[in-house]
Amino acid sequence: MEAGKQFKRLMGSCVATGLAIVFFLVATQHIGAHTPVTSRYDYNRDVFPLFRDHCAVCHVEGGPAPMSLVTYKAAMPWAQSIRDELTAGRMPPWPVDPTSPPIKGGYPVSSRDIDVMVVWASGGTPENYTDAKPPEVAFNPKWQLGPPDLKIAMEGEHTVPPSAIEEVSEFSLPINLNETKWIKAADLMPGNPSMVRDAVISVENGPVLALWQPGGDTISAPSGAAFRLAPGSKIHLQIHYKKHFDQEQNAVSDKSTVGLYFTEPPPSGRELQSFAIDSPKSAGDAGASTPFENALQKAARIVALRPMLDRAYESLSVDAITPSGATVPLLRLHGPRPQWFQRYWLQEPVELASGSKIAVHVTPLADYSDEPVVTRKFPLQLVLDYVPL
Amino acid sequence: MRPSLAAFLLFAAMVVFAVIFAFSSASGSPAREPQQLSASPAPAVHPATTESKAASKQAASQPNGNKEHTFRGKVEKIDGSSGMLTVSGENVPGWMGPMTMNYHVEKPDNVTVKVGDHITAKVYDGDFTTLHEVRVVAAEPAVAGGLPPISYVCTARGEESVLEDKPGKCPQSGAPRVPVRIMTVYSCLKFESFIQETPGICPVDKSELVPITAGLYFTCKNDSQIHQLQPGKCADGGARIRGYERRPHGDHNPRHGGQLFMDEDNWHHLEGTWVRPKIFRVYFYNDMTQPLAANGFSARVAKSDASGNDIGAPIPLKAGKTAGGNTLELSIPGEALPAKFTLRVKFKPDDKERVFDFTFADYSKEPGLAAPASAGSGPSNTGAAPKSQTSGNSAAGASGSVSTPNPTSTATSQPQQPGSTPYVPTTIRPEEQLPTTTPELVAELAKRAQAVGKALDQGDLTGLWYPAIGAKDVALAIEENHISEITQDKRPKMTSAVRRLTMAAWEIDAAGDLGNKERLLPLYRDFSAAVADIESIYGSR
Repeated sequence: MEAGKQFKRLMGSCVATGLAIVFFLVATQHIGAHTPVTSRYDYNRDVFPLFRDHCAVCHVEGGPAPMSLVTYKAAMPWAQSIRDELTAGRMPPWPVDPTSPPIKGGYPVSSRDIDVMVVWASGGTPENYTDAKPPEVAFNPKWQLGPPDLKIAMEGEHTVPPSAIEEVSEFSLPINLNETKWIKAADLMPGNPSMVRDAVISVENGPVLALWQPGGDTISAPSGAAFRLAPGSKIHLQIHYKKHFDQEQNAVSDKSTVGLYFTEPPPSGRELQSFAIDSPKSAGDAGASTPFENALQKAARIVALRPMLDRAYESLSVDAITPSGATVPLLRLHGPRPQWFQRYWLQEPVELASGSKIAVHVTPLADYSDEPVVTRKFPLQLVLDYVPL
Repeated sequence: MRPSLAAFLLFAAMVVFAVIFAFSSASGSPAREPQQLSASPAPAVHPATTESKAASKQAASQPNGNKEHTFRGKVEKIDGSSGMLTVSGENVPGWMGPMTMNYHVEKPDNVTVKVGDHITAKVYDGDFTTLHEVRVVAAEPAVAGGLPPISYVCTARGEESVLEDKPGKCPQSGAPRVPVRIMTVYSCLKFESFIQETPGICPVDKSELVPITAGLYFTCKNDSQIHQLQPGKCADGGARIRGYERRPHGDHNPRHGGQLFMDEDNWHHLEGTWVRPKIFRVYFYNDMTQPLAANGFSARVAKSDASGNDIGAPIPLKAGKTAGGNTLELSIPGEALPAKFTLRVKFKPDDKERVFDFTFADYSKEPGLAAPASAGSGPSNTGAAPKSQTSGNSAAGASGSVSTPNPTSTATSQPQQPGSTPYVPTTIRPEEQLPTTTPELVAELAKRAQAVGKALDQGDLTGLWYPAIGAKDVALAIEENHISEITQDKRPKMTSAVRRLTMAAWEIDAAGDLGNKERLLPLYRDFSAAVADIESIYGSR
């Protein structure tokens, strides 16, 4: 189910950020005009359960994605797009390679399930070989970790005017705390899910609490790790709005709410901190693997990694090289995209000695011609979230 | 079972396309004359000796002890350059469903066949591309009353991909789906109104008929308004006759002996030719393979090396001098055979360049004889909507709607009676079964992967999909059924490799159709790396 959320999330964003491509794909659905119905997989029995489990968090009527995939009528016209997104690795938006150290959340879709969906999309999109009838699937947004300890709503509705299709807006949300709180997780409840593409939730002038994507997992920091929220702090909320294609000429409004989950103070009293490693410049020519690195100035327990990308890559790997020369893998991504930035929480935090080098290798895609235009991207950078030891 | 079936689903999805497109465009030397695969003495038929030997070697290396099946089919085409046969095969239970495919032939020098021959052969589990002990046999009796099943399609622009097995509404226009019977028929290459259900010779220009996909219907000699999907009686008491309607993408046969590719927009099609005296000429078509005026198109061509990299700067093509205005061309003196070119095309000034790779082993030769001037040779129906045709209509008399067979063509076109031709299915329900042991599966994976590399080396870009998808299915089978045989620490690497291979195979399938070698090379690199990973994992268990 988690993977489904990711998939839906990816699809929504990809489509939203590449409407021109999507329209192109729809307009050229006749690609299969010479394709008889040859898929042994039908929609109702074989494909619907996959869409429901892996995509329906976003691709459902009323959801963040511009199209539903949980009815045959809605999904079938997108067959070519579905195939392209799946085979290019843009969907599902969970690029963690199976060889990576385990990451929390985001269960991947198996190769077989991808194959079933592609065979169906390529083989004439048959609806039903049996009497199977898919149940209705409804959009059901909810706080993933249950009711937050503190909800902080935007002070008013924010409207994206008809003249704009997308924008990034910044909001300062007062909290009115009079004591220090420790945060284990933060989440967002969009007021208008169809226009909130992603968000960055931070403590104003402080740490990043969450990189939020529709359908993404809300993960709690591991035991002993938490973000510190001092009295008088404010929440800084950055939201990337993007309208669905059928709303582009309209004024659309949102009033989102941030949810904070508190925890006990960590026994060490040390708050979660971050360490950024910037790429010196562009990652180089297509196909070339470009490393960049930096060394930890103090011993640390690494709990999460946040690659921020300037473009899509074929692969990204992060390793720690300890002072003794041992290499400790931290992350392996295959086909990460800049629009799906997220925090990867390590299943097992890694303790590193001071002076350990963090080496990042990225390999650009060999061919960018089919990549959608992405407006939401960042200078190439890796951020480590850690607890000082 | 599951992975192998999935593979053949894909094969099936492409079968019509493959029949018409892949084979005709693979070598650039279409076999328009009846040919023999054999041998002594028929040197012109198998000039690629090394290929023939390779096929023979491959056949000889079949794993012994695999279950044997008897294969029956009809030869649709012979590719002398590759030593491969295109055969419309009947269902072979437990091995493969009814399907038209390319096959290698064991010991091709000992096999003498021609297009239209009915053959039998031995085939073996685990090898779906090689025919052993090929024999020519008498044609099977016609299947009485055999009709292709009724499918339902949408005809509006943008909805041509809809093809259902039951009625309903079209998803975008809301119009009712239209019932059709889709089947493989044979047409004159240049006189498209002549269609019959069996291979043969075009009565107009004496060229070999080419297979196309068309819709079958029934009409009346004296009332062309009759358009039924069932045979029956006409008002005059006579039996309804068969008619055929061409379909979008139903005919990807090169018109000028070149290599025909479909652009990624699925509307533009183009055929590259390399003609004497060293002219690279590109013909443009729409999705009905009708000539498309090249107005507003621009193109640049560069010689390319074996890896598809440009040699020198691309040079713009100029408008050709063909009557239909559907060509661009460039004289390229000094280029020797085999000639490799990379073509970059823009269909609009502000459009992106689309890249197509061509490899010409020889000069392109116009298929068939020159057409009589009165028949309107060459591209003369630019932009015309597809016409309905009845069996046996000649080109000269078929520019309108349904008409009766004229006396000239009737004698040579052998008009069909209902049920007189075995049904050639377009929907495949394969029953393929992959090997079951790990060593066999790994060997099968290696074999199919090698076939991908070979097709790429030979410039058979439209034929890549077949072994690539086949390799993917083998990899999925290994992962699903044999991952427990490797140690726990190797399983993530196996899962990763299968995932990368699956995605690369599907992308190779798509990129191959576009004829873009530049795009294919990195995909093939990913594909090969994944295969190597799997071989390494299972080789070091």
